[in-house]
Amino acid sequence: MALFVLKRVAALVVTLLVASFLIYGSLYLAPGDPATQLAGGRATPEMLDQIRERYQLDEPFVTRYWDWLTGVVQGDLGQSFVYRQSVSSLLTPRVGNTVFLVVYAAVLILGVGIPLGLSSALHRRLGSGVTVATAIGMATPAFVAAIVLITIFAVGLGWFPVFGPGEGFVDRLWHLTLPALALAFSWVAYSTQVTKASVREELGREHVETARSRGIPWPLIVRRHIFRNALIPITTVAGLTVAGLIAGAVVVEQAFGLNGLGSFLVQAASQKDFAVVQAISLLLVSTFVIANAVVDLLNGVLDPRQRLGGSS
Amino acid sequence: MVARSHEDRRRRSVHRLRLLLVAALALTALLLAIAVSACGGSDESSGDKGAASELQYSTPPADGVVDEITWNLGYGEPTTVDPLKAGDYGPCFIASQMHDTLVRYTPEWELKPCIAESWDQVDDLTLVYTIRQDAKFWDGSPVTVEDVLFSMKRHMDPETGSIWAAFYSYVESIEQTGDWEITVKFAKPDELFNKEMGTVGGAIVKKDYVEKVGEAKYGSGENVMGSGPYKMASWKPGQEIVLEANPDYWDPELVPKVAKVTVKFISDTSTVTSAILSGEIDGAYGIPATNIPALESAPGTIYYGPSLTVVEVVPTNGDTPMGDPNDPDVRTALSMAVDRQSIVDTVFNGHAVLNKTFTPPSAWDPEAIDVYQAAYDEIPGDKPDIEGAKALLEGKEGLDKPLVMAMAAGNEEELRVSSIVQQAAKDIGITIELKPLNAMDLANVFYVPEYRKGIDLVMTWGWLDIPDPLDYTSLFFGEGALFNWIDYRNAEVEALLDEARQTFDPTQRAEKFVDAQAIYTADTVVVPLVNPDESLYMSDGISGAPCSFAYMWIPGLAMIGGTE
Repeated sequence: MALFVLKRVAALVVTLLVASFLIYGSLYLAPGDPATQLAGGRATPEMLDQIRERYQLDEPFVTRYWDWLTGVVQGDLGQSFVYRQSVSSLLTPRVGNTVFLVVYAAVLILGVGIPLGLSSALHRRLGSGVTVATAIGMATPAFVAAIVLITIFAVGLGWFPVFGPGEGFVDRLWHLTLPALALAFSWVAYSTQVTKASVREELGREHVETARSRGIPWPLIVRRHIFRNALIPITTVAGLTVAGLIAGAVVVEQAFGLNGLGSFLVQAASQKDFAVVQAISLLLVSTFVIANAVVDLLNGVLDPRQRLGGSS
Repeated sequence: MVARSHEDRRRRSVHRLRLLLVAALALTALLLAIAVSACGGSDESSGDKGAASELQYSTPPADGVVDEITWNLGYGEPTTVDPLKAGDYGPCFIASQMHDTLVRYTPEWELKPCIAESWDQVDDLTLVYTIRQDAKFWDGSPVTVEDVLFSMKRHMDPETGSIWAAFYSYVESIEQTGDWEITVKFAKPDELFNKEMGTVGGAIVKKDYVEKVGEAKYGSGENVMGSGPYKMASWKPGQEIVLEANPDYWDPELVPKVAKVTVKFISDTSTVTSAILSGEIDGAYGIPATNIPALESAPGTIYYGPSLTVVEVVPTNGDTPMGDPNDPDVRTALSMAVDRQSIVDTVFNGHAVLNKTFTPPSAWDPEAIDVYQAAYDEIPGDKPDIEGAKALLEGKEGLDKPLVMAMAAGNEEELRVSSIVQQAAKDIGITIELKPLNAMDLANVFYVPEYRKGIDLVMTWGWLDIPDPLDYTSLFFGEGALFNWIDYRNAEVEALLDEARQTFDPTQRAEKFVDAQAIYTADTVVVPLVNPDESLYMSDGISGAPCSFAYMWIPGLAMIGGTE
């Protein structure tokens, strides 16, 4: 276990280092002069040079990357040159919103998707209705879901607010319900289908037939022999889904006027705000790597053949 | 037997699958229909919700006390609230609520005293300001002559990188000449200077405070100290700026009646529309014309006011037939072919004024309006003239290559205007390809020559800072002028405009200006299109905000009150 954690941490550090270099490099190479955005409507070439110098936009790549890296190692994520503020002060309020939104959506996805998939696999009659629903769900992009939800539940019925993340737990829950639903919509359908397919597959397995013929009670078979085995692909998909939700939240954050990480990343990338792009990308990369590790850990628990250490 | 029942089941399941598909498609179509109708744009409802047909400078005054309103900045979050660094709508608007200016505009664009309780143009080269003694910063400290000197000289210091440095380009010195007196000496007479002191370029900051937080940090986050009617209460990045009334404000007329204004920065236009419809946003400027039909049932009113915004097409490349500085025929032909009235009618639903030159009629000095009007009437462009344009292009070479026009991405109005220009070009045999660019890339095209390669035309949405055509022409004429990308040089135009800027008499100034205008409009330095009206939404229950473009420079939120 210790070896597993150690290996994973080492892998995380290497991944982050490589990713940070690649992202910084590609942003550096991408065309565009970020200084012009700070120049207002009537700058002179001298003023532009002034801005470039002040925000060190004219330094060579290696110098800038090294400055950034040494800063990060010392816990300083750098300054956003667009907002002239520290990146950490810009990210702090946004991290909370995105985490809340993603966890909320994940609870919806797993809490609805898995039971729905399981029951539709076990009860064929229910299955057809669920197939229709998931077909629609998968075909509905998040921005369409967002518009429909806002029109019906925020503008039409007035049950939920149109925009904003809210403050405090209950208020946030209320503000983020529609965004979480919009974000979860197609993923619920996806996780339902994955669950259904993998449970169906287990249903037809020999050991299930054998268990039935031996007269083992059905609920026990479902729990021990079907669901447990089916959980392996489900966990894998769920882990990646949850990590991917952060990136997928961009559209929803935009549509509901939420200040989250996703929309901020898109904005910062289009403005070449290096420090902000770096910080958010590294957060995303870390989330992916950690989610992957957790999935491996869970799969090991579910399936003894995949026990940690990887001796097989 | 077994085989047949298996076959039956398969057939049945195929049948069922087909039914499912049909049901799924139907439901998806239904969802899409709802979504599309939610986006607005239904043609029948183009009537304006509660809108006055006339342009108005301000909205009906209201005196009621209001606890709280929510305002939206549709152009996104301000990157700063420091007047010196504020060059865009959001930063200027917020900076103006929090800072006093040397002089102040009314919504009707009249200049009134502000931090300067009076001013005196002693002679062509000397301007004396008397500073008021009762203004205070939010921390209670008085606004001193030292603060005023510091605030003005800041713009002249190349180290600060002031966006408004050009306002001070004719200034020779600024000195304290009495206990409460400041004298500005000019190297050349400058009729614009005092007018420009009514914008953020003349805003007053507190010297000690700026020095304490540092020049670069002033105006970022909550680091701001003004003497204006609204104070910075909090700034949550990405979410909101909360402004709190300054009850001790020196001007009783502008002591805020709304105790707290929460400013949001939602830029997604359909979200803004929904938030207005649900009553979560009480006010906003710059409602896109394309969203106005969807606001039919909004719990408030849309007002229209005179703006200084101009939409035009600027040539970028002097080596092509379109940009040739010495032969305007191709540009003139394009300008003749464009149907400006159709832009006004179809894109802006009538809420715009067609513009035959790149300074709009709304910028004319009221004291010399006849001079401007008579000259303007001489300029062609009221109606498209395709035949005339074609005749002009007869025998011209190098027009078979498509031209690339850069424009802002993600703006529905701009896309529609661009397609009308594209159609006009097509009518006279010129192909224009559109190249949508994000904000940074468009700013690159403006400022960095290498990013203009491969681009022939740029559609720009600019604004004049103040109602004076000379404020804008300085960007187009002379060597290295910002928009003079094709290097158009005309000694007579430059001389006339320079003389005009040195002339304080409105009529004489107008006469010089219109002489220059006659020359450069004949040379079609840009293809002018329209002057879209200012639009303002306020919810039922509040009123009083300015409706002209002066809203950018005056603490308009302090004019809002409750109507009950």
